[in-house]
Amino acid sequence: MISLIGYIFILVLYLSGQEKSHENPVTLFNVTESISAEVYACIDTLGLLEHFRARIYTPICEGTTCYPVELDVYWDLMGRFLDFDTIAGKKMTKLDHIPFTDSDYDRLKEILGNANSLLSSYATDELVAETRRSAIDGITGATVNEIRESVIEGAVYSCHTLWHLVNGAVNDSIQNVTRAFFTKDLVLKIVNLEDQELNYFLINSFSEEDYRLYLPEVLQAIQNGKGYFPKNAIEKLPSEIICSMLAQEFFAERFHQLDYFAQVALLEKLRAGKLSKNLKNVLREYSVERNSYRNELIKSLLTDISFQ
Amino acid sequence: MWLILCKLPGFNPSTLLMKNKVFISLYVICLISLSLQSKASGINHHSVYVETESFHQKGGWVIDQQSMEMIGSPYLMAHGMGVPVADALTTVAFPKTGKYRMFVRTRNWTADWSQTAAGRFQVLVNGKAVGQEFGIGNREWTWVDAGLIDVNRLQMEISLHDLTGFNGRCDAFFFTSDEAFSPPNTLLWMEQMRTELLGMDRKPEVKSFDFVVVGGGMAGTCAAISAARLGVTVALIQNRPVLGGNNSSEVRVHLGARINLEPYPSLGNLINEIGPTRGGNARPKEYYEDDKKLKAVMNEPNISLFLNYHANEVIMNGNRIVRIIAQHLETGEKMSFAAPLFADCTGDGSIGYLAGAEYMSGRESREVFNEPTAPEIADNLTMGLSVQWYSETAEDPVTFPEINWGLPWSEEKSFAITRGDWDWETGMGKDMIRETEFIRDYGLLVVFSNWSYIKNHSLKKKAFEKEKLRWVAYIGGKRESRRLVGDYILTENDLIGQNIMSDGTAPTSWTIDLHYPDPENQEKFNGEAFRSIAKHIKIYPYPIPFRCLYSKNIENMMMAGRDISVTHVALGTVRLMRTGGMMGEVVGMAASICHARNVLPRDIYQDHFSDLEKLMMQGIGDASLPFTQDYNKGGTLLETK
Repeated sequence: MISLIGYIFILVLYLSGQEKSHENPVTLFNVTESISAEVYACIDTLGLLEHFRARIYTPICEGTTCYPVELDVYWDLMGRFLDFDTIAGKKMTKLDHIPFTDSDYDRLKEILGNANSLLSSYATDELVAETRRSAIDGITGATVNEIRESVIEGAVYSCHTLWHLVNGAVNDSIQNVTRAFFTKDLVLKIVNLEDQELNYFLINSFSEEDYRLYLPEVLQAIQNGKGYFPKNAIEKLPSEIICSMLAQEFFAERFHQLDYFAQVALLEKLRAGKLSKNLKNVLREYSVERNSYRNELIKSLLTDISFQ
Repeated sequence: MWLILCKLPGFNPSTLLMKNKVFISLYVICLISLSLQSKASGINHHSVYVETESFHQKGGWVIDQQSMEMIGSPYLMAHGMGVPVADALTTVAFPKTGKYRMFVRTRNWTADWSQTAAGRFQVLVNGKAVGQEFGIGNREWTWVDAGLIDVNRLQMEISLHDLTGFNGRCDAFFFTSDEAFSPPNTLLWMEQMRTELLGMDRKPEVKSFDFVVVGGGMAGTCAAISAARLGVTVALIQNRPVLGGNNSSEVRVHLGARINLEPYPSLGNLINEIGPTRGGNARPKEYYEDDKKLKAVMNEPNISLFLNYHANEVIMNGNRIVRIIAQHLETGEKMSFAAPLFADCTGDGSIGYLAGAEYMSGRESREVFNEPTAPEIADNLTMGLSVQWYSETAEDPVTFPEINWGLPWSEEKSFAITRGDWDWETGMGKDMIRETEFIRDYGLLVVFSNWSYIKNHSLKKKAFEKEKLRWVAYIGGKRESRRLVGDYILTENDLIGQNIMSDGTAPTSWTIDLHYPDPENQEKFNGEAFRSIAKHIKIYPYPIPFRCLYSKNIENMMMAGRDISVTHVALGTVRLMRTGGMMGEVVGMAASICHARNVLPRDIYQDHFSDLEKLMMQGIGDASLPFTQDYNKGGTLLETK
């Protein structure tokens, strides 16, 4: 049962490609119950965070029968499951000790990589439907239909336990460690990955001071951002920073590249009295006949008395 | 010619209208009949016409209105899932006693696939079977001559007695004292009987509103509530006894896609307010919370709800709809709805079609919109209609009839499962409007064929010994039919290329999810697949342009739901019900602006769009409620925040 599993994560700085003798624990967090795992932060050749790794050792219990599972698990910088490696001589087994096949391992990777899995909302005792035969003949209950596609037949408890381990509290802990490692270089490295979720992780992590410090990187993320990222990032930026010369020049040059809703978000943050000449000229071009909220905001900015 | 309406004791219809604003017909027509003199013979002959949907006791028979456009009226159907249903019953008044020839309008719904009829029934006159068995002859709806009956009293009891529980059906009765007369099988003749001779629509009562919404699915229900909360008087017309459409307990498809998204995170609060809290297709009735939707509408003093009314006529003035006429499913009573503004939330685009709105159907060829997923050559393939089903485990073994009218089945063809989900989908490539009955019937045929095999022949039948077929839909869940053309047609390229427009409204968030016949199933069943596959294209959430939500050529008509202005490919994402509901919220807001400023939808786009933007930012649903729409959101978005 997952509630009985628990774990200790000891974060260790791990030099990629080097032996464990170079590992350097940096923090120790939440001890729950029976399982402990050391999580290592792995760095690239430039010394920047790359990913995290831990050797997971946990008993999987089905009824009164328990068997151990041991794997090396990898997460990315915001704690998303990346992959796992098996350990020689520690092959996983299914019900009745049938060894995992290669395709079972591949399937397990898919299952663990689905952060939105239905398994998230199932407790251990909800995994199996009411037993159809008596316990005497040793037949266990059937996996409930709703999660059948989220597990491997005969290994429902393994899937469930491991999913909660790799997608559980460790994610938040890893994010906290990544935040502690933020530098201009690391933030730029993350922005260059052009990974929408990582970009959101950044802007949701930054304080006002961080925004000031990492403004060029944030503007780069806005420039490359997809979907509503530019709008959301602009909404996160403090008005004072948006009105800085660096930001205004950036937006004057790229206003036409922003979608309508990012433009509206920007206009709501701008202050008439602090509008740069270049941006003002750009906005004039966008003042068109058709009625819209954007036009109302532009007109308001361009006709503001404090500006004149 | 005469008509007798029997009032239920203790009910005062006008009082109830005042209290609840629900115009569910409270009059039960005990006797819908008429007598006429035969013009053909020149002598006095008497005839009596009875619509089965007006039977005062339906027993276990259900009303099916899905093919009204083709048949002319609803009909009664014995949907017993293999168990004969209780008799439907009415009392018919005759002008004079004597000999009458009785005709029964029915059809053999399995004639396309078998020489044996599935839906057999008898007609009882005063409790005694008359004539042959019915439902066994033509595949077409036909007046079947049941022979002469002796009408020895002015009031005779007529019953439909189901023999099989397998969807026998009966549309109407015709009795004539003219033994030489045979009723023609033409819609025109029947329309004349229903309208001119019954006199129901001579002067339909006209009711006036600010806004008339046709269709009570998620889109229409949200449109009505949204407008009503913004001070607009609304008529909501729904041709079923429940609200919710595909999400009602009649169809049982769970809500899909996401709400509360950028760029208008307050859109969708109304879905959260009225949507079921549990997900799952083909589940027990209570999952779909019909009452929750009904109560939400009933709580709006500005909404007048017309359940069981089917809108099938429009009165135009140039390019504007002036009135819509709707017919009650049971009584045939017609009512006229006048308004300066209308919304077609019918799914099938029925109102737009009647009004002469431009529309598209099938698949556009690639060159039309330059869409990568469109076929090289245009065709009539649409996504299909789902007939879902499920079984439950009983305490004891349960039998199911070994049918001899089903499709040839085998172990290889069978599905040893206990639930038929969305992918039990038929009619892809057929006409979703003109062939609705056939498409739904094929869905029923394969469910019963499979289940009969599983229960009686399958190698796995032991495991199914206690499984009881608990529910099979008889109202099909449609995905696609007509798409009404607006000032803008949303395409795949807009979605893929993130061509976000300044008039963006409700965001679509599901993948472009297009269904196709399952090739393996298609091959096994002679080209007539009943299982489907879905192909997904990931997109970022995309705000649907407002110009897709009003008609290009019918000036005072908006749309919400699956009949909006999109290509076939783009429909793949916008067709999800939470998205449709949010479109409804927007259309309701737009109605309030039209009402307040006395303008048309197109004027909002041009001159008053900031009004709509502010309303969308504000939202219309109760934002204080806990979030309950955490199921079936779609896990394949490119962007999650």
